[in-house]
Amino acid sequence: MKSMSCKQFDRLSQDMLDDELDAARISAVRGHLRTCLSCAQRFAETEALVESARELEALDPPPSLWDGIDARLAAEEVADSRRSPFWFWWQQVRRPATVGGLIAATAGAAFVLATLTHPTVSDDVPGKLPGELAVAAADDSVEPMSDSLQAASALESIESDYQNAIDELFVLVEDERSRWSPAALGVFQERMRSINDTLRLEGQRARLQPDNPVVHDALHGGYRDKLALLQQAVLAHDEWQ
Amino acid sequence: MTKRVSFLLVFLASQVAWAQETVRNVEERGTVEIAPTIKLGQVIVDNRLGNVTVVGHDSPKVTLTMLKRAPDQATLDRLKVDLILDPKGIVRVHSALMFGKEARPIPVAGVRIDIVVTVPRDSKVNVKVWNGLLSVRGLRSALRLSANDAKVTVTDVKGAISTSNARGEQRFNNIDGTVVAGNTFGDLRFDDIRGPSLTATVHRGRIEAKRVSSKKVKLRTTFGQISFQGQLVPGGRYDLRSHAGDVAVKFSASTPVHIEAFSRSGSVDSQLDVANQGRPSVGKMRVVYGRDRGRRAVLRVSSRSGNVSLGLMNE
Repeated sequence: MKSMSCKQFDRLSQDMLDDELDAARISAVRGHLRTCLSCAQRFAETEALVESARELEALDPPPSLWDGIDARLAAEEVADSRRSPFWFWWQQVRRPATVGGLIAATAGAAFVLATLTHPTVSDDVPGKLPGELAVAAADDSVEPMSDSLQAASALESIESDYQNAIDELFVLVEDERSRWSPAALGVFQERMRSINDTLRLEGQRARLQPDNPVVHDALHGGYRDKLALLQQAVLAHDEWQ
Repeated sequence: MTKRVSFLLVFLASQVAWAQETVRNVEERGTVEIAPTIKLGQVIVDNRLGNVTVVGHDSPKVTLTMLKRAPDQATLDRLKVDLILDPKGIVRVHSALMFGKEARPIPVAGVRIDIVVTVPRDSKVNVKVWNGLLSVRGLRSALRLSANDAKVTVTDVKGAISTSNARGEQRFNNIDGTVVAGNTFGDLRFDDIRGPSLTATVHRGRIEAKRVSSKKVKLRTTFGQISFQGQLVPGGRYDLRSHAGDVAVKFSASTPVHIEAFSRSGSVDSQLDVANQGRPSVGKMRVVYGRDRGRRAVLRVSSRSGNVSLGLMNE
């Protein structure tokens, strides 16, 4: 599926800043931002301008919360940016069309059953699809969306695990930090800042290829560093000193 | 009546789908062997699509055996495994799924490449997998393993080992060398570990270490138990900590052992004969065990909310 063009993005981004877009289009715009650096830069500047004009400052969420949400949304947003206009239209009309949808689903089930009862693999050439579908299948430059999404989903799951572990440790650190000396707290915060900087950078890289594990290796390394630091802080057990 | 028809339709559909899945699953086996004329520096295996087994042998050859599986022939044809030897003596084994002309090592359901590599024992080995099994045995050199959701097994290795895994169990058996093992979720098990040091960290999981005679041992778990059985050597440092899990230590020592044990909300129980050196107070213990002659070993054991127990190994 063709990605959103920069021209389309320009048209929609202003609407987004004016809070006039629905959730699906916002996701698509964000998806484009993740894959187009020039648009991302332009949008960031515009957004900063709009933000500065607002009277009330928005509260920043804690970095850990933002990282987690960001990682989980990344794959969905990139996928949304590749969706067709029909999909966006459907998001708007699907609620009123519930009854029609049920009828369509029933018809779809009947079609699937009819298809399954006929061979989809030709007898003479294993793995080749008959008729017109074979032409589409032979064009392997068309990436099957499901493969990419599966990989992105698996990566998202692992990153969610890391984030959950980090969140658990943060809770424990909060309990412990009142016992730390100012010097120890300073060292901890400095190291945490450095790791968070790395994580932000690697997170940006990873979001550009949400389905490629190799690109995510460095991000996972950053998560492990953060876990190690937090665990070290939690297990300091200085009472016996 | 409607429910019965619906059930029948779903049942029929699942049966047909199952039958077609069975028919369409295809596989391909292959073996490649290279006999390098230069000394191998390192063997790097990057297979995110399935299992990896690395076996050390006494031959200079490198043999790659692979089994590719896919739901259909077209997908099978898109699975690629490369074996490359560069002039510096580095062997690279790399697997990928092709998207047009682009090779991507992405894990996809129904697609697998399982790889067995036999390498000279003294080759340094670096392996990356995604999930499944990662097994290494019979090496006499350094080893680095990383995985995301794999069961890792390392057996009969003499050399430094470093591993990291997000989820899954790791087992180490008959190791002579420095070991650094990390897990986020999953147990770590060590048996018959010798060498300079053993470091193991896990966030949620149990650490079990037995027959350990490493000189420095660091075992850390946030949520999980620690069980350690080993020999404490002169000058050795043993530091075992859990946040919310019991820590049980059984040791033998031919040297005096300076012991510090602590638990904030649990107990410290000792079966050691330390009557002449003071009984442990609740939650805290600091003693020297054994005749205070010779170079001491230091044993520090702690748990925030679990119990700590100390005892001697059965002779």
